[in-house]
Amino acid sequence: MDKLQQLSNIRADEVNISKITDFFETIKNVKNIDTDGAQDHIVQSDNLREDEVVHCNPEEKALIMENFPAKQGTYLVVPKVIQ
Amino acid sequence: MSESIIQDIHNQLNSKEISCVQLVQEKINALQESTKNANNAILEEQALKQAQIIDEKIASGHKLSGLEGIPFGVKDVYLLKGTISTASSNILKNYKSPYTATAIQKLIDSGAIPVCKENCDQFGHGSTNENSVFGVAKNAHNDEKVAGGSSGGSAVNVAEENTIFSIGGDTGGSIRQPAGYNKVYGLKPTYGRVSRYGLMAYTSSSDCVGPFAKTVKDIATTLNVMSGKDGKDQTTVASNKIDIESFSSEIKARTKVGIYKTFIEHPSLNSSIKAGFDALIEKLKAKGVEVKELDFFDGDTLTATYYIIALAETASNLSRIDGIAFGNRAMDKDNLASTYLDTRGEGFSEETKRRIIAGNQVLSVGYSDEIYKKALQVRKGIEAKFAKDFEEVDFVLSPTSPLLPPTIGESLKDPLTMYLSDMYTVGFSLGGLPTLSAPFVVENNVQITAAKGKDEEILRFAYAVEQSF
Repeated sequence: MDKLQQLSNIRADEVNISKITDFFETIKNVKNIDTDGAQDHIVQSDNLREDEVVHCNPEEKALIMENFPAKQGTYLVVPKVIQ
Repeated sequence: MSESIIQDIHNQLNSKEISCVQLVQEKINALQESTKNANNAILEEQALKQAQIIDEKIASGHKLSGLEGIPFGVKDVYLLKGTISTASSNILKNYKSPYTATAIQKLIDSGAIPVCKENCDQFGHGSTNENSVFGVAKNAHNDEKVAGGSSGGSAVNVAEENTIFSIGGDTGGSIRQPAGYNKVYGLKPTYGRVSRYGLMAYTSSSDCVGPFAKTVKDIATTLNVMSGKDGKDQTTVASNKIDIESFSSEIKARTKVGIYKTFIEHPSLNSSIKAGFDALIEKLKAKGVEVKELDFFDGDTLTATYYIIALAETASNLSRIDGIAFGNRAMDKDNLASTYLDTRGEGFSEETKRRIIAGNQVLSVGYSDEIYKKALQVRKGIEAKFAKDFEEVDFVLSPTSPLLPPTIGESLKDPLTMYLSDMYTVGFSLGGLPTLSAPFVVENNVQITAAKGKDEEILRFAYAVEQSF
């Protein structure tokens, strides 16, 4: 199996990514990047909220349980891993 | 055209010309009868219950305001408690939302009524709405053409007036481009102005929540309701309420507009779009607007930078969808690895798999430094260029897309053309800038972009243009 498919946890017959990898050459060829004056628009790390414990309400909990892919009675079935 | 369809409906409801139940039933009938395939689900029962509550308020003498009683659509990548939220995928085809996205909850709290979950490209992966397990959404004006994407169904519903407004998601143009293809308004607000909590993540560093509507004032009204800091999304920023009542129909004196030469001189730009854009610029000049040509990055560099970052982030974001705690699981009881591989292999479409696999390549050893980190550096360069440009001009205007809406099926044969069709929208996404796609003169709309946080200035300018032409 293809290494990238393993990395992606995806089994697929054929996925053509050559059109996307063409972008790699474009980005490699970008020269003289002037970053002076750029502002970070993502998270401000000096403005974090306090941690707090929030209990899941029963309705929300029921919906989360309903979404579980495999159940036996009240048990949630997960794949077994023993090493 | 009315200045505000929301206000018109409030007038009709307050005067008891129609009831809210009649209004919502009419919209639901239209959604059910539509042949555009714009919806993944119609929320008839819940919507009619909410409409009944609005009618009781009116009967008791309450005068409607804000968004009370207004039917709206929700792109099927937002969680809405108790409804199925699929992201137009097989893997989440039965996923029931355990809570409601902050932006959608704010709209509901203001009295708006969600009536449908709208078709879109799977997890936002596409520009034509063809990457959907529900099938392609058709263009509102031509059944043979695509609706655009990824928020295609939302744009079509607003164009057909089956919803008064719809909420899309815009990562690299997914509101602005379908707004253009269907000739309605679509706003990508400043990054962080609206909470992303409850939006299924595609590219977290540029995902934005925004509205489609038929008038500028209706865009502003919905934006006011959704905006604000949210403790559940650390990237949100505070913003002032837009003063819609003070919008003027006159374009502000000494307004300066920039146009990017690399955009309007690009060989892919359709001649009729270019002609419309040139005509719009001449009209603005005649109104006293100063126009300045600016240099900018070329479309190929913008597209490459955007896709490299987007693929890396989506590979990371979608790694949580593996069929263990939620999603359709392809169970192999003897082999955990096979469970993951088959669940994701069967649950994602070809385009989504392409993006995840390419994203993992971008992040892998040997590519991470040379490709991913270089793209981040180019993004910084793009942000720096915007900062300089908006010291010289108030707005940058550009076409929304270089191409007219493709015929259904065309883009599936050539994904690269689809990616390059995003070249005018992705740069503004990388910069986190507010951008309005507006149906002025230009086929496929014109984009009006301003500096970060200048959403109100864009809407004031757009209102003046809307009223002038």
